[in-house]
Amino acid sequence: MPLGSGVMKGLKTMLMVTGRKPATVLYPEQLRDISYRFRGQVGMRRDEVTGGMTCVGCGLCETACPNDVIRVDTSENEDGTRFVDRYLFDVGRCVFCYFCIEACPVDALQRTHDFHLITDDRRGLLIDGEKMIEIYEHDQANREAEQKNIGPGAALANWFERG
Amino acid sequence: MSSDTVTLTIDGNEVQVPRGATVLQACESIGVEIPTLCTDPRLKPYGACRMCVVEVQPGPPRPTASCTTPAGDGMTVVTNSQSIRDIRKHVIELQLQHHPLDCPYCDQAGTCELQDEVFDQEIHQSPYETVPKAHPEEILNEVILLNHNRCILCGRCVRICDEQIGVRALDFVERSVGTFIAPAQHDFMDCERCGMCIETCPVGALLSRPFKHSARSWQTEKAASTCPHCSVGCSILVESRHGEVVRTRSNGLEEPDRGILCAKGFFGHSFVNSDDRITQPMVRRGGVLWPVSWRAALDAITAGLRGVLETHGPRAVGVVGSPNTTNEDNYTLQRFARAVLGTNNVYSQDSGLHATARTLRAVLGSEVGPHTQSELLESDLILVVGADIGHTHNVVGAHIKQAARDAGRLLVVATRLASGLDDFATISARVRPGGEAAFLSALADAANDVTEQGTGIDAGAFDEISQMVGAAGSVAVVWDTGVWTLGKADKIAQAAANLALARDGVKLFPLAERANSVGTFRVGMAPDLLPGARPLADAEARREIGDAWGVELSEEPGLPFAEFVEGPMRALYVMGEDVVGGAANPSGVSAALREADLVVAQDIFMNATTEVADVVLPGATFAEKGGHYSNFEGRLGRLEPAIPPVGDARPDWEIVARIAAAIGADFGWRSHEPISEELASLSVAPSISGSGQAVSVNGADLPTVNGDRLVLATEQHLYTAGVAGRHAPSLTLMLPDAVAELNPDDAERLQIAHGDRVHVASAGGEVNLKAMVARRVPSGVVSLPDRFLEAAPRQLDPRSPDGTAVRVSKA
Ligand code: SF4
Ligand code: SF4
Ligand code: SF4
Ligand code: SF4
Ligand code: SF4
Ligand code: FES
Repeated sequence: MPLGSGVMKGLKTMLMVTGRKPATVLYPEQLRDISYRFRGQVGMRRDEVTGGMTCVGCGLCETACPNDVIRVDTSENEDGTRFVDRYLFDVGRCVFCYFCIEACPVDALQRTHDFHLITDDRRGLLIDGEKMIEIYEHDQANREAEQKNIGPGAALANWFERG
Repeated sequence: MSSDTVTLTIDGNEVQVPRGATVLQACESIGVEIPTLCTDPRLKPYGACRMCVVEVQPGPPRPTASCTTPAGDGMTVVTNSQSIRDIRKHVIELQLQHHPLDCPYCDQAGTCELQDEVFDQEIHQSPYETVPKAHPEEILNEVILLNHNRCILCGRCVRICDEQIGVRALDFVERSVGTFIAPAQHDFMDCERCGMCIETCPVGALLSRPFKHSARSWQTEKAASTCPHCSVGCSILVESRHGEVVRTRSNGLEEPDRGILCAKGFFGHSFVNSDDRITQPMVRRGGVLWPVSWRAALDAITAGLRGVLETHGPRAVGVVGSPNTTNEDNYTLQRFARAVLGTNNVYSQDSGLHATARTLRAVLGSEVGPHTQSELLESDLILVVGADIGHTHNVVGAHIKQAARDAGRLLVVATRLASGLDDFATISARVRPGGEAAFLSALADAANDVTEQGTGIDAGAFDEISQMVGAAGSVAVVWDTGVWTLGKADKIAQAAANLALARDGVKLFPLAERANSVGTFRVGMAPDLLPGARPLADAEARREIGDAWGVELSEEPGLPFAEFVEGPMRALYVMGEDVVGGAANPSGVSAALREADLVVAQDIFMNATTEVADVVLPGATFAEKGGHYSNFEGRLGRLEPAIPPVGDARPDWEIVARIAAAIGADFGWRSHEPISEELASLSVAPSISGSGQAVSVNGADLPTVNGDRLVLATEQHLYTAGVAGRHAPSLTLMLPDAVAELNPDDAERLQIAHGDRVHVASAGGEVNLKAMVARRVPSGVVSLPDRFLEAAPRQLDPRSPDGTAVRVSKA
């Protein structure tokens, strides 16, 4: 092999890469493009009438979850309807299978792109319904911004997904 | 082919079934599944829903309901043709016309028969316009709710209340498309609140209010257990979630309950998770109970027991077991007392069962529970005496109603208060409180002339009853040995025994008050008995049991409880019982316990005994431990732990076994099973020949009734269940306060209105209560429910309040 060919090879690769967009980003200041199909934290929709959780406490998500992530405690409301005393979601155990979202008969549970699950306290991973609403609404607000700097591959995938 | 079977062809398969079986049963016998909605194995075929249609040849060319069609010889049945499938689908679609299919929201989901059908038939919504009913949800009473939209008018609730419970509180109202289910008599359904209508409802129409929206049916853990509230010992299914009992239901169709429960069995579980439970060991220091660790509590107990044993000897130590705890608990306590502490001061509090059992043993040589409920119900004549067993032993009462109506048994009801059984009775008469023994004795002995003064029964009715009893081939005498028999249980038992001696075919059915009253007797929780209720005086029994325990048993029987407490007592271990509250003189016992060196009270709730105890230990309820109760027949009812014990509570036998181990006698038990086995192996029934002597029981002179002087009746009420019941919110909803029930005539004469406060005074005491004007109380009697506020009737005369005269006035 002629002397110096290694240098040339290296130079060539360097030139090829120089024009490309970097694969790494400066997280958390910058975020990666996310596919529409990305599975993030499970969020909860706010009920427009009551202003609280949309959840009616049917327990189907709890039953569907393969990983014992969800616990729904209910009781009777003064007007005889079912009241969700407490909705608990243990993010630390969730495998993002979205079976719960599939099961929910009132579409209370929603997918989000939120993957910022870092915490310095394990207890922070046990979130309640209110927190899930917050996550969902924050995620909705972010969607617009997200759509703007989306990469071509992800945009195509999203296009197929939405039809 | 014999004539009592028929042969038919179902879907091409030939099948033989007994004559009288329905086509549906024939199909089920070969595993052909037919969907049904209005069928319940407890109920007679009705044919309301038309889900079970099949094609039957020969016959009219139309679909036939298989549940009401008797199988006939040579029938050809097609169960699954296209047209049949279409009809079934259509039936469901029509049901959905006003049915909202809000399953995610409905308590029945998961156990709903309609939901299953909708799913099987792949119906997503009704093809018709859905028209919800005007009043979707109606509250029927404190515990029952009816959602009209979900009702499919199958009539199962109406029928179970009539056929099985004998109350007939529900009925169909209006006709045609306007039909709905409603309380039969009033807007407010004042029924027995047994919950069986909820239990049988195939959909989420009838619902339990205490359970409503608290859990989904598939999420609960289920444990097959036994009702802890009375000696019928009904089998129940305890459903729990996250360590909390959320509901109990009937479990299976077997004896003794045959698939039904009473209000206490269905609604009375809520004491288990009451906030008032004792959840940790406590030791009294400076007059105050302080929470401590188990180790500290056990140390205090072992040190105290050792001290008393050294200075005063085993005669100064005693233990009290309880009919609220299991055979295993009581057996462990007994072995601890006799084998480790070396004392025969072994007791258990009970109203009348022990006295009854002793009397029957002495006179007839028979043990308690010699006969089964089936024998009771198969007797030609059933005689119910004394307390209203519709209240005290509701499920047996319901079965007796059925036997009288459907099996043609003669039913004689000689209770003190009017009873739900009266409607089914061949003859019913009112006995005066205090006259029960005299009445039975007079039945036994024709020469013993019954006086109206002695029994309260008029001579004409008595003669009629006497003749009926004389003419019947077999007679079952049924009486409750509950709190009203205090002080006279032996007399009543003797009188019943007289009747059994006087003529053949009489079987006696004393019904014990609490879940394990019979168990405490059979386990030998008495100073002069051993396991198996063998007499302590029996040297052979002593040797056998002593060998099994590896000790020499003392032949000196313990002292009677009252003598022990007033005499040598220095240390007392009480398990699951309120020895102060239930005592003949509470203040005396309380003072004696204060004087003692060591009093250990192990219980689930605080009571008058824990008030004076030096150490209080948290015991476990029926839902938190394994073991067995012995019901009134002596049948073992199994307990299965449904939830872990709350807080630091432990099963009662385990606590006692740990103390025994700490004192140096490890029984080696790590679960209740070896205890059950050991107890069974030692429970050899003693053979005792009774004296066979009828002893004439004289009628006591009943107190005269005049003016404001009434006779007191203290019977257990259907909605009371001792201390546990007072901590069960669903039961206290049904009967919030202790009440004095009065006949309307007496109330009018004394100018007392429903709800007034009344003052009831006897020679021994007085009490203020709310008045309830009730037709079930005969004139001249005032009824106070005992076991509600145990103190209430006992404040009047703790020894035997029942049958004494009291003065009633407006407070
Ligand atoms: S499935 Fe939906 S409605 Fe049901 S409990 Fe879960 S979040 Fe609530
Ligand atoms: S009654 Fe049955 S079908 Fe109707 S809403 Fe309830 S669970 Fe669903
Ligand atoms: S609770 Fe019992 S007594 Fe009352 S309506 Fe229902 S079945 Fe009848
Ligand atoms: S309330 Fe229930 S059991 Fe009664 S008729 Fe309606 S569906 Fe049948
Ligand atoms: S009859 Fe007795 S054992 Fe049966 S459910 Fe009622 S209280 Fe419980
Ligand atoms: S099951 Fe036969 S008609 Fe309802």
